[in-house]
Amino acid sequence: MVEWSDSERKTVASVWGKINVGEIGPQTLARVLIVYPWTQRYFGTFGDLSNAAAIQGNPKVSAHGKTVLNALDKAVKNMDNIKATYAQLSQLHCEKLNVDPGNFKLLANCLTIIMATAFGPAFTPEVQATWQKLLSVVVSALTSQYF
Amino acid sequence: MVVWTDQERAFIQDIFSKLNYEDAGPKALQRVLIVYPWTQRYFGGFGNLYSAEAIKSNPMVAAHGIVVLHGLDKAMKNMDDIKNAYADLSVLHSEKLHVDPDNFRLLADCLTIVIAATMGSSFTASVQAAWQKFIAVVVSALSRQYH
Repeated sequence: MVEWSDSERKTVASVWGKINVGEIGPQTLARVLIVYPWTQRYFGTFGDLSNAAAIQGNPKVSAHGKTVLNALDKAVKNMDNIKATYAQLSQLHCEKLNVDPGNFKLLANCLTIIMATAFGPAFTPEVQATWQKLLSVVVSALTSQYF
Repeated sequence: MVVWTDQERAFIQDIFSKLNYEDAGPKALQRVLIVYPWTQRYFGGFGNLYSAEAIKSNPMVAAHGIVVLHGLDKAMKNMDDIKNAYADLSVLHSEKLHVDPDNFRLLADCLTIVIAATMGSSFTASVQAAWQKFIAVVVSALSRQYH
């Protein structure tokens, strides 16, 4: 089981409390599709993804970005049992969606960078360390049903 | 050879023109040592690295951060031949410093976060894409002489 210090728990709650999923979700998914363009292969039915502006204005990308980021709420509310919390989502991504688990890390990276641009100097090394720990546990949990 | 669009070249030059080496260099290296603590093994001669505070106020870390960041100047000035520009530095890191090349990626990630936090919303998705491409090429060039 992953150990969380009191200070890490506070940091996670405080950071999550400041995140506007409606804004950050769409930006995160848009960045993944722009910065790592091969990921567009998963979104063949989303319409126009032909350039950065198209991606950022695409309503399906926005809607799906919100869905994905909302799912992070599960981790924030169940920090002591992230693995079990994501078991079903992990199976879904593996067996139904056939998503290469390497992509989870790409999304985590883009989310971290957006947080850095939004929080500026408040995204201190300590906050970064805690947040990256949370995201790597989530990535690991999402990958856990693949094998 | 890596192909750069005019827009990518402009984004990279712009980032470097705004880069404060004395600020970003230390911050990036401090983050690597705090967020990925096993990297401290390379800096046994640097004195007190026992806490985030110690790392952030350590003058050897700050000085070395600036040296490392200036190492990126080679790439910025030789974007059409980054591979050869880094051949000597790659040999140095492999044969003399014995640095695991995975660490280049960790430093690249932390530097990206420092730049994102400093540039805020002007670190757009397209700028991020250009920057990450640039830094991935540098990391690849630094790793090249290892085998």
